[in-house]
Amino acid sequence: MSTLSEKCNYYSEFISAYIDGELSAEEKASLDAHLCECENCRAQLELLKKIQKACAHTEQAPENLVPNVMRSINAYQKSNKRFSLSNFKFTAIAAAVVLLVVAASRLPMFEPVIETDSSEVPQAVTYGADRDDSSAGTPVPATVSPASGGQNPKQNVNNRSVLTDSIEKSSDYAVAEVKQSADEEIPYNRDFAFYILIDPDADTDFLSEYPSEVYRDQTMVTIPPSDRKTIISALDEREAVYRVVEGREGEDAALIIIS
Amino acid sequence: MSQQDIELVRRAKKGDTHAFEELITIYQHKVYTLCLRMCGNAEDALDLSQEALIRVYKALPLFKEQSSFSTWIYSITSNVCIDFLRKQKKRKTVSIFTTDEDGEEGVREIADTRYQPETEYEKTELMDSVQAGLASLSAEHREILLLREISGLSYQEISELLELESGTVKSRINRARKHLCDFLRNNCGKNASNKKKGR
Repeated sequence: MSTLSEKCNYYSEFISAYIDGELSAEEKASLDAHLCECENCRAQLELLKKIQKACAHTEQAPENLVPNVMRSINAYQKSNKRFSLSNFKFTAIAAAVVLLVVAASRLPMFEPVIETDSSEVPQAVTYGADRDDSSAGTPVPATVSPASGGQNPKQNVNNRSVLTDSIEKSSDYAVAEVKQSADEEIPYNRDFAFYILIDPDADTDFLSEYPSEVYRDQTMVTIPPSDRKTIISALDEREAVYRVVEGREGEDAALIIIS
Repeated sequence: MSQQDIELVRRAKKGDTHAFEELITIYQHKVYTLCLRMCGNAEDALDLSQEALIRVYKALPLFKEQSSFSTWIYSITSNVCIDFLRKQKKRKTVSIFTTDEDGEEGVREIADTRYQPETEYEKTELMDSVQAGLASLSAEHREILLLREISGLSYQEISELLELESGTVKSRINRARKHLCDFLRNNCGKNASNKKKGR
C-alpha cells in the first residue's frame, strides 16, 4: 500500500491539471476522493489557486506603449520604401560585377566563388529538385529545380540555364543578406535551425504554421530542424527555386526562395 | 478567434494601420503583463512589449488565421522574452554567495537584482513573492507557466506552440508550480522579516 506522501506526489499533477480544467471526469473524481482525506493536498490546492490568481492578474500597460509601437511602425514603413530602391541598386551592381567576372574568366560555365569564413559567414549551398549534379565531378554550388511543371528536371536544360544564371547573379547578394543578419543580430527564435527568406510572390501557405518576421522586404520563417527535410520536399513539389545557406557551426542555415 | 479580431486582422493585413492600432490596443495589457512576469521589471517589460508588437506587425502578412490571433501574439511575445532572457543570462555576473551582518556565509536566493521586486506594479506581498518566485524558475518553466496563467492557453495549444507532447506540458507546468509553491513556503516569511529589518 502506498504511503500518504507517495499518494500526494501522485496527485500533485492532478491538482495542477485540475485548476487548469484539464482533468477528465474520472481523474477529477479520483482527486476529489483524495482531497477529502488529505489536508496537505487541500492546502496545496488553495496555494496554487492563489498563485494562479496572482499570476493571471493583468497589469495595465504604460500609456506610451501603443503610441511608441505605432511610431516605430510608421518609421519602418518609410525606411522600407527607401530600402527597396537601394536594394534594387545593390542587386544590379552585384549582377554587373558577376557578369564582368564571367567575361574575364572566359570560362564556358560560370562557377561562383562564395566567400566563407567558418566562424562568421554562413556557407552557401543551393538545393533544387535536381541534386545529382555532383556526379559531374566538381561540386556545383548552385543547382535548381525544374522551372515549369510536368517536366523532367534532367531534360529541362534551357530553363535550367536561365534559372541557374539568375541564382548565380543573386548569390553574392543572398549571402550578403545572411551575413548582415548575423552581424546585426536579427532576432531568431530559440530551438530553430534555419531561416527561409521568402520572395513576396512565393506560395507560402504551407509555411504559415511557423513563426515569421519581415526583414528588408522579405519574410523570414523559422523552421525547426526536424522539419527541414519536409520543407525541402514541399519546396521541390512546388518546383521552387531556392538556396540553402548553411550557418555557423552547422546549426543555423537559411533557405532563400528566389522564385 | 472573435469576430472583432478577425475583422481587425484582415483590415490590418491590407495595410490599415488604424486597424492594427486597435488590435494591439486590445492586447497590450496581456502582452505587457506576460513580459512583466517574464522579465521582472517594468522598464524591460515595456521594451519587450514594444518589440513583440512590432514583430507582430511585421509578421502579420504570414498569419493565416489557423490559430487564434491571441495564441499567435502570445507566442511571439513569449519568444521575444525568451530571447531577451537568454541574452541577459550571458551577461549576468552576480555572485550567488553572500555574507550577512554576523559574517555568516549563505547563498543568495535571487542572484540577479533585476528580478527583485521594486517597482510600482507590486501591489501585494503575495504578488511580490510570486514575482520573485517566477524569477527563480528557469526561463522555460516560467514561459510555459505564464502561457497557461496569463495567456490562458490550453495544454494542447501550448504543446503545439512549443512543439512538446501534451503530457510533457502537463508535467512541466506541474513542476513549475511545485517549485513556485516551495519558493513561497520558504521565502514568504523571510521576505516579510527582511522588510521589517529594512525599516
